[in-house]
Amino acid sequence: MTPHQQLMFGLGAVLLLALVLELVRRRKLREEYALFWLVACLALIGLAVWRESLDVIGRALGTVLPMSALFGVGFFLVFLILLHFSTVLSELWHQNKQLAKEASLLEDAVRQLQRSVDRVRPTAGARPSAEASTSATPDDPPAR
Amino acid sequence: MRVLVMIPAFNEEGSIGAVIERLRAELPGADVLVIDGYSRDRTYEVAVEAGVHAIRLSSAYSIGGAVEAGFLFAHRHQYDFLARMDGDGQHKADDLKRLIDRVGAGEADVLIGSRYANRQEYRNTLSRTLGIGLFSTIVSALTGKSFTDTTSGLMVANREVVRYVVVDYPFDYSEVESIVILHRAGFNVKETAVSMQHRTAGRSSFTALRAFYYMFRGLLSMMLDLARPVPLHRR
Repeated sequence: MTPHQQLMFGLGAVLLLALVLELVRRRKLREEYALFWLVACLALIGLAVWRESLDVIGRALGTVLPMSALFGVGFFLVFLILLHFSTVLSELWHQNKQLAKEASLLEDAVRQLQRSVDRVRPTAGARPSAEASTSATPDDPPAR
Repeated sequence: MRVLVMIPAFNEEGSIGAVIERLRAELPGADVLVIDGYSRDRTYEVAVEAGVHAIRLSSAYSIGGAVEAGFLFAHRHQYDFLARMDGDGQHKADDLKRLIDRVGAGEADVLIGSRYANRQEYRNTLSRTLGIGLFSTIVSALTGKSFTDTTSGLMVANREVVRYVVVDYPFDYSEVESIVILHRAGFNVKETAVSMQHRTAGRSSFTALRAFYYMFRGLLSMMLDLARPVPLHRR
């Protein structure tokens, strides 16, 4: 790796690191997820600064060019982060489903309550009935 | 003995009313819960107007999510038994009553109504037949019991099973997987023959692509189930 390449990769990694830290500072990125990116950035910076490391990794991987080793390591890190996102998405999907189930139960509970109230106070005709207030109308957005 | 009959339904306004009516005639003491996947037709409204319990859960969570919601409902309202049947009129209410009586007598923790147990003529698509055959072979091998209809939507479970599915069940509900998991958790899961009618209205939400995905998911999860512990049911 030439000093020029070294400089450019180092700068790129530092820029990425600054971006991650700035996003955390603005609370656009939770520390939990920032951790992975920070580790990846620091690893890339380490590779750029300590040039012999690429030769070592290159020999271990069997790559001819040290640059290929850099790409290989970078790609692997990005892959890990993407996989991490898939687990986060799965978790979110699960949590969303739990919420949807709870909300659906509440919808029925409210209607049952409304029915009981209507039975006790049948004269209160001004109020909307249970069916009108909780049943679907054509304007209801489909929950997708 | 409090019984809840859940009916997962999607675009079944043409049949759901009659299904509820027949259930009421056959099982006057049971409560009915319709779980609608935000149908484009009036499925939900028909259920509300019939005066039964009705909830809506996005069909994005598929049939498994709907069934989970039914289990949650039964758990929260402390029903003794949870039954499930389809809203398209395929299942007969008197069959369900028979199943409930047998689970009520303690014959099994989960009793599944099988369409194929007595090799009765029932038209089906080829891909579906193959998938059903594959799954019943695997499930039977894994449990050491004979299961001919692992995707059946007719079943009855007691409250211990309901509690287990809501509290301990480790992942997304599917009919096939639930047999294996509940068996491994220590429940007595059984199958019994029932007669089946062709749907009275609407059409199956099962497409070829979905069937393929369903098979892929089922096979993957069942293989991986073997590689992880199942929380045991505590009696």
